[in-house]
Amino acid sequence: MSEVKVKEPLFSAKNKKLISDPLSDDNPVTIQVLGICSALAVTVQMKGAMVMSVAVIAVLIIGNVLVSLMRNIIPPRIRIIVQLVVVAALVIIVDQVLQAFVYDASKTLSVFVGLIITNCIIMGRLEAFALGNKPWASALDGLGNGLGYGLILFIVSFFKELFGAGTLFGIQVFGDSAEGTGLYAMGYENNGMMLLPPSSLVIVAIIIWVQKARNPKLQEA
Amino acid sequence: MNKESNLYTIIFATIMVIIVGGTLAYLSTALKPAQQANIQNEKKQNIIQATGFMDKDKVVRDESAEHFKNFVTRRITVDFDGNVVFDSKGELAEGSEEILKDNEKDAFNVNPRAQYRSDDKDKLFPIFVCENEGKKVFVVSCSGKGLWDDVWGYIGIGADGNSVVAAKFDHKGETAGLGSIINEAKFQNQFEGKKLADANGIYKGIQIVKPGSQELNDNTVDGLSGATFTAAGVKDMLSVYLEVYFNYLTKNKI
Repeated sequence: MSEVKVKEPLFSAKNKKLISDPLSDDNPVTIQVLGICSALAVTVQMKGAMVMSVAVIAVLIIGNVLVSLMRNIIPPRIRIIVQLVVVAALVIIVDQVLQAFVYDASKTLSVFVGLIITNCIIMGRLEAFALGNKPWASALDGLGNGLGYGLILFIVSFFKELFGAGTLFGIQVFGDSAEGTGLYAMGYENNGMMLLPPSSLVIVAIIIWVQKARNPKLQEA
Repeated sequence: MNKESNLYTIIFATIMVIIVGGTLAYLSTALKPAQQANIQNEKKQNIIQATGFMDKDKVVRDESAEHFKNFVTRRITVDFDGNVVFDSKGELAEGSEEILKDNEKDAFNVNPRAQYRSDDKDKLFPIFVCENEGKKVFVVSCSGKGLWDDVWGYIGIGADGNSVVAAKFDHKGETAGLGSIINEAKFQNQFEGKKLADANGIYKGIQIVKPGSQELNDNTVDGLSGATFTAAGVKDMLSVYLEVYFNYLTKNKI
């Protein structure tokens, strides 16, 4: 029993906060303002957004753990370069393995996989968290921030795909626009602007507004 | 050892580069055969999809090599002026459909994506003659530039050298949900039944027009809203390639 007391439990209150915080009070996209670029660009379809989220979560967890393991031997002066090399190597390995064994997935993913390297969430979390924390905490931080990022992508792509193309995950919900059935028979039209990046800015801004309005802690004095 | 020292930094960087570089180089070499096989099978899959012999969704990549063997009876490569530079009928023994790996003029080895930079006159134009149950379809290959990266396509042309049977387009990096629609049925199916020539048999090509802007005829299909440049890329690609194929197929009886 004495051992348990010394060792922090795997899901202590502190560790749970590592996962839950990025989902609300410390969301990487809306509060830390990281990873905005891909939240704008890859949210046209929910399917693509999901795939991107899963890929980012995977790279973020593995990258965080690797950097955390090396945190005591990385020379401080080249730490950013080391982080970049770790992330880039991971992404290339994922891409190559997909191309060889899951070719169909690699074709849908190829555009996104390259984008992961430049996703600021990853570098941001490596620099801000993994360099100063133990591997397990870093893994949880990666998972939490990845999920927080995925959550925003999910919400943005939901509205973009619904109003831009009238579909969700490729399934038509408003009827067939080409055939003019369902809502389209009553004169409803898809909004082309919703498919373009500017609409994501508007949606992300509304999310930030709602979040800050509901949570006084986040309001600036 | 002092982590701030120059020596430590240099040693660390060197070891890191050797480990990462070595791993990536090994991985790339080890996975290359599997990746190449995927790419070749996909090419065969696209060619079979453009014949219209089978439902596009039913052509599975892993079975495409088998279909390719069954359907493709002859491979011809022509140049810009319509001269034959490769014909599997003359080069290969009767009944053999083997792909000549070393012959870069073999229609299967000609990669229109790779010759994008060359002048139109230097390009090679591959034709795959496919036969099934007495029906003959010429599958031709073309490539161009979309908005972000390469776009390419395989067009099945009927035995008259004029009517389009089926078309299969794909792209490397067009915007998901906008330009990427060129590889979906809603865009591709429009091409079925279109003609390369007008009623008098004069070459017209296939124009991609602004969606909903005009009544479509035998030579026009609807473009994509929100993906003007991707559609323009497909249109340019078709205008470069289809004329050569049309001239060759209508002038020569294959």
